[in-house]
Amino acid sequence: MLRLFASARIVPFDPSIDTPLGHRNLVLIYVMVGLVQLAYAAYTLHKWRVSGRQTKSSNSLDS
Amino acid sequence: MTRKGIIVRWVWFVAAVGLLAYGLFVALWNSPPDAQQGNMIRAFYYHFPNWIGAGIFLPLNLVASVAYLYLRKSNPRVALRADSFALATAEMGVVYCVLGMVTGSLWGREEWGIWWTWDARLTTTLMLALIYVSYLVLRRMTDSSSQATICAVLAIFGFLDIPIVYMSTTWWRTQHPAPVFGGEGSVAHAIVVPTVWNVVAWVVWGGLIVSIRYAAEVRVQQRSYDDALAAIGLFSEEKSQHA
Repeated sequence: MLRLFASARIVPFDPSIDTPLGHRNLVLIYVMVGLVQLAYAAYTLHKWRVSGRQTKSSNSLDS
Repeated sequence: MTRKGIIVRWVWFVAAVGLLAYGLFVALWNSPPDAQQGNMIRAFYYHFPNWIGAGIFLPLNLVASVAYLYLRKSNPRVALRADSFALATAEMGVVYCVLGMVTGSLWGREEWGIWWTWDARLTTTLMLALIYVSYLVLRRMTDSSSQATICAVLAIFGFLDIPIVYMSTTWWRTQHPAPVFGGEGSVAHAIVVPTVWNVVAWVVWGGLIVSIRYAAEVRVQQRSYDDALAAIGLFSEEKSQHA
């Protein structure tokens, strides 16, 4: 995915002012920030769903 | 979460995604490369918002922790909400903190030639991250009635590191650059625009995620509080029958 992202030139790269290492790190920064934030959002949604299920089951036990 | 709350969050989500998309567009394709750093300046647009995020959510964690300690006896239900908010903001703060450190390290490898250095800014930042990670670990490992109180006290001590992190580039000679915004000299408009868009976008996103995490945690804590009250009620009922 990283290679695809880099090869598609989504992240600007100019060989006269940038190094391949810098470009790779720049791609890594954008991909990593996006993925980590998405992963934490998924974890949060999971917590929300689990808490809803637990509340429903405890309500049904009460009744 | 009520129906209205869900609708508000959907609107919030659409706004956050729109802002993030525009922020990404401005950062990658609608801003020029820097004269010194080349395209590596674009790392800053995804590095700096993480620290603004940490700088907003970790102080909110302090406010919620103090509110919990103040209200835990006089108004337990509101205190429970404050504790849930403290957890949500601490988690989000840690995510921003870790992302800020890793993106900084990737930038540093290119610009400084090193991944890490033990200068005052980086070291105090690492300490900050470790303090809040220990806060989250403590929340998971302990299960006693005093868990929230212990965590709230730790949050107050943890917060003390934030002004030290902020002032570290002023108090000591550091490898880390001095503040770009609010420091000496002016910042080029071409850098300000993508930075501001991405700061706004990531803070709006963080607020949304915190609100969902908070709602989930309130549900869990409310249920265990009600269960505890019900158990006490049953216990006192049994006692009065025996008497």
